[in-house]
Amino acid sequence: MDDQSAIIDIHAGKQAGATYLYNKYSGKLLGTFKNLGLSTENAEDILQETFIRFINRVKKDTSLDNIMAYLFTIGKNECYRFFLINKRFSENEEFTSSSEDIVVNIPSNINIEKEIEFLDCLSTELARFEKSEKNANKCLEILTLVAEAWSLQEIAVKINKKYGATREFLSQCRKKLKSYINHCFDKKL
Amino acid sequence: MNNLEKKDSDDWIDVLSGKEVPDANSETIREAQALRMELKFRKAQDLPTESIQPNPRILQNIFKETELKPNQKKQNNFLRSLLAWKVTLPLPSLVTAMLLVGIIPVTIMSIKPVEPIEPIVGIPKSLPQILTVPNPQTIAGELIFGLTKLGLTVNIVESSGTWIIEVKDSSIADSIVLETLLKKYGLLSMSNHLEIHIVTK
Repeated sequence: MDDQSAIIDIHAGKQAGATYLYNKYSGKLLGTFKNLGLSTENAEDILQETFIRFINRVKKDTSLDNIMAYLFTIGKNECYRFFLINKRFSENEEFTSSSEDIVVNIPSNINIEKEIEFLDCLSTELARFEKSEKNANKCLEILTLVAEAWSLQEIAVKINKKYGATREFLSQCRKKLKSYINHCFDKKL
Repeated sequence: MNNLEKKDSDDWIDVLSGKEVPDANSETIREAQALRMELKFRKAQDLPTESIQPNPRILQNIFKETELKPNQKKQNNFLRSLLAWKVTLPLPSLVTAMLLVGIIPVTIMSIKPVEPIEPIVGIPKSLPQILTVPNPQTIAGELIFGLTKLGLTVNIVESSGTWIIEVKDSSIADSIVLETLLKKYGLLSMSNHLEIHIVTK
């Protein structure tokens, strides 16, 4: 069996195709979820939900170019959903938050599906940004350092630039990136 | 950059780095937060992942939720050809086919059966079969994957570290492949009903 025949098998409502894809990708997905700081229990819940959503989609439509990329996109969306829900519950003190801290700012009236759609749109545009912009790799490298909580001072030292220049470079990166993702804000569910 | 723009830029950097900024613009929060998720996920994907065997029950839950059905064993090619022949050919051929169907089983039944191969020592010839291993969850996972690959429906129960795997009807699986899989773990394919208890050494 290969990925495409697994898709056809799932579309026909059979288990073998799903078993094949699960055996092939579940370890890598689970490892990625754990690398995000998720506990084994939460990572396994997200893995299960990822495959359920994937299979339900394949049962309706088999036109997928890159199965692995699609599985990881669903996985990423499920992680985001988890972080948003987790945060919402922790703010209502109905759920004890853990060290899983991707999301810290969450408006009270958040529409989770809309946020996931926004993330999807941003991901697509970020890929387009990477292909089209000359300094994209450098931008993403520095943005990743910021996301990993490096201070601007530390980043400036790392890239051998002055603090002001680093800040200006980040500001330019955001400006360029914004021109790609602006339309994502207007999307309606 | 005026003061408002500078604050927005600071807020964006703070939210991107995981800090809480309650008075930040809501669009700035959405943008920085989604970007943070995307970048962190990319990094997590690129990092080496420890080798983890997911809990075998996840796959069973997935099947239950998505209502996927076990794959049926393919019909024997010979029988399929014979059936097709019966449908498409005229009466003399049909008679020949029916004779063949009658004669072959009688011939097979008259052949003296070959002496059975000696069973693996130490395994009782009754249900359930016990498998003692250092890592029951991993072995249970392997066995379940192997059995579901053969199109079998597997029931799993885990209690105090003991994994119980049950297959109520293994007749739809290719018996040789099933036997080979079970033999790998020192188990026997004794009847159509399989019950395996996997316990810690």
